[in-house]
Amino acid sequence: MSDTNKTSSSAVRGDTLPVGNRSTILAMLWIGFYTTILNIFTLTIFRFWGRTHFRRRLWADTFVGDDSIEYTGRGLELFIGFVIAIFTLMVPFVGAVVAAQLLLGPEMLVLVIIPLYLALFVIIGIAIFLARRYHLSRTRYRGIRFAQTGSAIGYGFAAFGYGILTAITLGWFGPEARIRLSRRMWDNAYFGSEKFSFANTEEAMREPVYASFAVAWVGGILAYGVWVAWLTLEMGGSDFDPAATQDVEFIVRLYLSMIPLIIFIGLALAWHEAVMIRRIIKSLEVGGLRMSSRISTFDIIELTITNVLLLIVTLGFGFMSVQMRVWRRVANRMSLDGEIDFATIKQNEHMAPSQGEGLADGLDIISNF
Amino acid sequence: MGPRFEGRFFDGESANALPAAATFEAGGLFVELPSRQFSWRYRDIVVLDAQGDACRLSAKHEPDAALVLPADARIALREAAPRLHGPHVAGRRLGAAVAIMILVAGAVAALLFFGVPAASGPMANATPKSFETRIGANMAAQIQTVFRRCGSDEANALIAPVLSDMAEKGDVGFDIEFAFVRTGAPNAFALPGGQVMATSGLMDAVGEDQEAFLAVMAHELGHVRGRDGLRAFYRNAGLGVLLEIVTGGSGLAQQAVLLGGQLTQLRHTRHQETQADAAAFEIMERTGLDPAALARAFEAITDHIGEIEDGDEDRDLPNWLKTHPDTDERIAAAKARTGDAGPLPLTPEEWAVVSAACRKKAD
Repeated sequence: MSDTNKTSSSAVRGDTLPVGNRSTILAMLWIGFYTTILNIFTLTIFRFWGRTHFRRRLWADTFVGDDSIEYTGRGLELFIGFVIAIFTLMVPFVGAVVAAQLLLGPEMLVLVIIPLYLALFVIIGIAIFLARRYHLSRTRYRGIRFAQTGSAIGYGFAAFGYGILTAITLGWFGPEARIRLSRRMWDNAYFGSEKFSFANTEEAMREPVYASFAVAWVGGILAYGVWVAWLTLEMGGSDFDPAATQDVEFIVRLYLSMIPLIIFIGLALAWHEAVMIRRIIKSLEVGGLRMSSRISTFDIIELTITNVLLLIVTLGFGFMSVQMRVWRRVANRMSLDGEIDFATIKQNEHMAPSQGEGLADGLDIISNF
Repeated sequence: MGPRFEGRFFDGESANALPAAATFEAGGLFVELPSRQFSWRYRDIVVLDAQGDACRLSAKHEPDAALVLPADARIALREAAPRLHGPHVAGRRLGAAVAIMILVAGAVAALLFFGVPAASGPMANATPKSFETRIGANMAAQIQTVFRRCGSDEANALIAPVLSDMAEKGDVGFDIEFAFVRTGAPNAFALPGGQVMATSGLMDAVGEDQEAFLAVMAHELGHVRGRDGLRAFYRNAGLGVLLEIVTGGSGLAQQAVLLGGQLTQLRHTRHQETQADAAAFEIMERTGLDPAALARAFEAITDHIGEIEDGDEDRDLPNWLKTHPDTDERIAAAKARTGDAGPLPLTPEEWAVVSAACRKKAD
């Protein structure tokens, strides 16, 4: 890093360990640009390599103390993982759905299709877990690999059950579900031989999770209600001619109206999002280091507005810059307190997965991170 | 002795950092640690971060080890082993990978535009007819949950034997299951396995002209005979699966491929439509109908579409003729087939029952 000549002592004691990211928008715009262009010529096959380039840059620009973290994943791994997931899961799934549609009458079809789609929700949870396992196994710091252990299937069923509870409670179980799923992940995560723990520290518990959620819930419903009311007026209420939805002018206005909607919902969610990020980060401990976050509501508001503008101005090429800016802000607002003795942290002995996050890719559920 | 840099070394066994001195020598990178020293051959060195403000190196045989040197060490490495670590090396590797990807994409495109459409015909022909009949019955049941059936039992009882007779004389090869469905678009379609449907809009369009209606039915029977519904299904399923496999179901390129796929399908459909027209002429001649009635059907449908569009109603409904070959050409072809026709299968009174059963407007 900046001071490569420094001889590190094995233990870092007492002080706050600086954490941050120094990625630039321009570097990420370039990766986003050539990934998009090459995606067109390769029928999007290049996306696995583009994503790998993005992660390598992002990880390398992220530092903890004197050293940056390192992404060791490869585009080919992501590609192979995707192909395996498509042929072992997605093609049979689509085949089963199509066969059911062809061979069963409407009543029997419902009996077969509903369980299939419910299973898909469990699989989405499994895919998220496997993607995360791949991420951590391909992340290295000071020569030591991270790892994710635990049951992917257990995570899938937990996510599915929490999803149902969240739906039943009109979203109110959502924050609790997010905390529980985070705990499930982090309590089974390792940095080398050192296990992470997700502890309900006093500081983490002080975060106003449900007060901020109430604001987000009411604000989100109000913003959506205003938008629907506008849309109804715009469409002329009950006199609406469905043919007008084909008008280019109407479609453009519809999309433009979504910009303030997204911004308002973003504003309503901002406090809660900041609270949740702090709640989760402040719960984390590893090897005697306690994590902390100073991310603020204003950070989230500013990021939401500027990222929407960045996406519009760059005609979508800026999607990687947008993801980087979120990561960079979270990293720059983080700190590590306590002491860690690096000499005692040994290499990770957990088996790393040989392929990438194919399942998540096949299901289209993860971002470019 | 080459350039020498001070840095840190992580041995991949613990997270502890060791002070290191690295010298770029002729045979490799010589590294001195407090307790030991070793050499990495240039061909074994892996550059972990090609940019950034530190030069991070590893070795193929020690993948978890990391040697962190000042950024200038990158230049020294390139100079020491220009063929292995020059700036062009990574670019060349990526270029080769992209070239392979473009070749794969080309192969997929060929499969998409030629392979899948070409395979759909033989696959349909190889499918047992009983299987196709079952598929068609289920598809019809599903379609009829969206498009409601209309018409009366009396009308169906009158028209069903007429269509069965046409199917038998035309060697269609399937028992015909006919239904009227209520939708404003003047349309008729043939699903796999002999399921034929006509819309209320078609009845509005043809009005009193029984022969024009039967001409449209003869055209649909042509599709049944050609097993076009099953071919279209195989083609769409093939395209869908291929798109899912390659693109993962989203993105700009997928839209391009989808559009391309639809264009091939349109072209293919036009070919099938021309064949269905030819089959319709044959079926009509065999059943004593005047093939020129197909021309009247096209004209009635075109006029009807013009009428409903002028009235600004149902403008968003599917346009039957859009996927069909040039209508003027087809009208001319049908008129050229004018022949002697026998009596119509239904009496004017019977036709009045059939044509009124599902119509929206009174004449």
